[in-house]
Amino acid sequence: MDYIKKDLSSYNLHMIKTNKFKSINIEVIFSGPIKKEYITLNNFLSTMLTYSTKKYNTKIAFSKKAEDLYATSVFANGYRLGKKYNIDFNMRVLNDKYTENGLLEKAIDFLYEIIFNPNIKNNEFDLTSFSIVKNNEKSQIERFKEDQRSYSTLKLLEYYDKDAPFSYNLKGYLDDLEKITPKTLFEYYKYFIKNNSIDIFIIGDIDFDYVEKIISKKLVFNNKKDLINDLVVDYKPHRKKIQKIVESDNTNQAKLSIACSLENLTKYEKNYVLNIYNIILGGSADSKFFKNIREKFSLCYYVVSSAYKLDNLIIISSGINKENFNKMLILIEKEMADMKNGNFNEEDIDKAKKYYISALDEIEDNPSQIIASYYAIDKLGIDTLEERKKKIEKVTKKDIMSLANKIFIDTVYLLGGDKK
Amino acid sequence: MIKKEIKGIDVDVFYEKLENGLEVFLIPFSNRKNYYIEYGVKYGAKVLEFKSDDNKKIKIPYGTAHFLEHKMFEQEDEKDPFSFFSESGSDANASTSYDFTSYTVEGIKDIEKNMDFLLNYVNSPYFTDENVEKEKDIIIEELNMYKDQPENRLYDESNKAVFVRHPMRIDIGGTPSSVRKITKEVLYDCYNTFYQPSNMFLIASGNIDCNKLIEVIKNNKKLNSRKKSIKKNPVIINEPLEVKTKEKEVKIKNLMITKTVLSFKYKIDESDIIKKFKYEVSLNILLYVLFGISSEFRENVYKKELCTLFYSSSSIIDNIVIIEFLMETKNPKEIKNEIINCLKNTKITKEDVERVKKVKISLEVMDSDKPYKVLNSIVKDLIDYDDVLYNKIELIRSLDLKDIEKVRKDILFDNYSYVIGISK
Repeated sequence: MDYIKKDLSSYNLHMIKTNKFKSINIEVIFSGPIKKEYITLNNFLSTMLTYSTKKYNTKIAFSKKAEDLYATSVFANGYRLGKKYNIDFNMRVLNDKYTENGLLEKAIDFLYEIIFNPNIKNNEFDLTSFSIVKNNEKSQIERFKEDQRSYSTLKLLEYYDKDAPFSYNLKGYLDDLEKITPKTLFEYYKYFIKNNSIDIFIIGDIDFDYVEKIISKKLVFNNKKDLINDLVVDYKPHRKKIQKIVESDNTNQAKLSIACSLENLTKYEKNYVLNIYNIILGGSADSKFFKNIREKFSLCYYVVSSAYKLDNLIIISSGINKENFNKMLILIEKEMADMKNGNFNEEDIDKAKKYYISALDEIEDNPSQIIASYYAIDKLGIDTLEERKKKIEKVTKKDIMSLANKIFIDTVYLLGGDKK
Repeated sequence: MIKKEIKGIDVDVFYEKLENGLEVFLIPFSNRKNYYIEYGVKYGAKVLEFKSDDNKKIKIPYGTAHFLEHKMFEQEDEKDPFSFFSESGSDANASTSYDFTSYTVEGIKDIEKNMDFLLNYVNSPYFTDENVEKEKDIIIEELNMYKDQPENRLYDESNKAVFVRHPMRIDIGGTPSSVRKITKEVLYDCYNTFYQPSNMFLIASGNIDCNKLIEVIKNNKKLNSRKKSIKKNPVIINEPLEVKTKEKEVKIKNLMITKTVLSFKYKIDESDIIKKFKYEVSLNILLYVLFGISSEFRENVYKKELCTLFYSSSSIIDNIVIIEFLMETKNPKEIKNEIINCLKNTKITKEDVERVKKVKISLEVMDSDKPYKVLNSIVKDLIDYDDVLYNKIELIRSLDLKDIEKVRKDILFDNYSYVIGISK
């Protein structure tokens, strides 16, 4: 796998050559600071741009164009990285080799239409497309509560710190949605296209010179690079007394969510020790949570922990019978105390390292993960895959115990489970 | 091993049927790190009664196949499978559907060791009163989790309306009360009847060395100790043609916007594998042309604000065809009529069919560079057709408008069930 990063002055073009895949994946990543009031706009705009364009001005025309390009797929994906918000425009197209000469170029032309030639009439978005997308955005926001697990995690984070970016609802807000008009959306488009920093990734069995030539010719921006460097969400010291909130709801299962603060972690702890800590605690099917809470006490079907180093957070979640709430909390606290006191062995550490290295190896079989990995190296200052595999081996039991002493349960939230 | 080529996608499959009847498929990919193994049993949640080896008629509670899947991880004196596989950084998992149960391992390193262990643990059941009892609360929590997912609940209700006798009326995992009834004896009966090499298959794909791997498989003592099964236990479900309930409204907790499921039910009589495959693809093409992302129908119903979500899908269960639509709508009645009208009357052209064939073929090629997708496609063939198709692209290419229209003629437009889920 060869990787080249080219500075095209207004953005960086990252090209990755590999013969593993029959398709070519392209990602145009727009990146800016996260702002709560922009979330709904961002969702609306990215859906709008991939719904229709000036040239392909209905969903039918748009989709038929994609079908004609041998089922090329295009979608936009918005996500948060610490204090930053990204929108990726993703395209997957079959290699010319398996289809016809010039397909890649035609696909990039299509991508150009999507990004630069939106469905605008008289300085506003096409009304038909606008109202269809608006209805869909609205139902998407309303539907959020149907996913009890995500819903309860969001509620937890709101109780934990309602002003921090991790407690923003990335599905958007109804109040904000109502304010958006075809005109204001177009205004926002003009702002969006200029005021984000941009990176373009392309991966597949490609020719660097050819790809650089067509992308630099067709995708021309005039933006500033790397607008934000500091991604990490500032941490607030944990509450002295654990905040416990129980809310009733007439559901079969109570959702238990716990937010833990990570305090004063070094870079090494965030990038290495934290991974191992989390895999041992509740990040795998061989974790302490799985073995000691699910298997020994039959208290739940799932109980997992996830670490978010950019947010200084660990979130623990489980689905339980409400009666078992206190029992469950005691067991979780016990496992966390065991991590502090060193009640785990070298074999656990060794397995967690292998698990971590496997996950790194796996990246190399998946085009979008390869892109995400190069992106993280470039933007988050993370070590390369090879360096990471070496450095993870150095993590010691002492490192893990000392990290464990910087992790504090802050907020516990229990939702529902009241159905008799 | 026999080498078979999957035509049109540059993928070779190495096949061997072992003496004990186990079918083995190995699909090597060069230049990959990951490998995937799936050890499957052609036994799933739809089995509710059967004859044991000594000809005893046995009835089992709902959810037994799924319970058995959970309990296979229990070992008498060997290491716990999750723990064993994590030693090499690999992932183990298992799943149960109505038709089959499968045990999977996914990893980078130590494939031979992991293959050996997988064969060992799935071939050595260890059920005790105690370990069966302790699983019940875990499974009941799993069922509770699904019960709180509104879309799942809606599909449950829809299956109850469509099917009269078919076990799909009940969740794969059973119900809390049926789970409570399961005993170690029930599990052993099922295991001994269905977990036999000739009723199972073993597939590996990705970063594998076929010669080494087949040796490991052939030399596995636990697998070799399993006898060749004699008895076939076909599941015969006498499902009537008519749907059970034509229309019903159900209140669903946490459903935020009204969602409905419309299902058409009819029977076909295709036993030949090629015809069956072609039928299935023709049905897919029909639905794609009429209701897919580039369809007039979709644009229209969105424009008229009839719905905010719309999916169509189809499945062939034994000889029963189900065409299913899921939508989020404020006007359940009108959207239903629009669907029926479109399904019946909208004209399909030769160009439509050719365009969608190109899409289907392109997707086959795209998926063929993913080892797990190729593996899954072989599993699907084995379950649906009891055989593997090596020339799918050719078969898709051979379809024309007549095939699609023929499928449309089979549909019984009046034999549908319509379940309307409203928020509670």
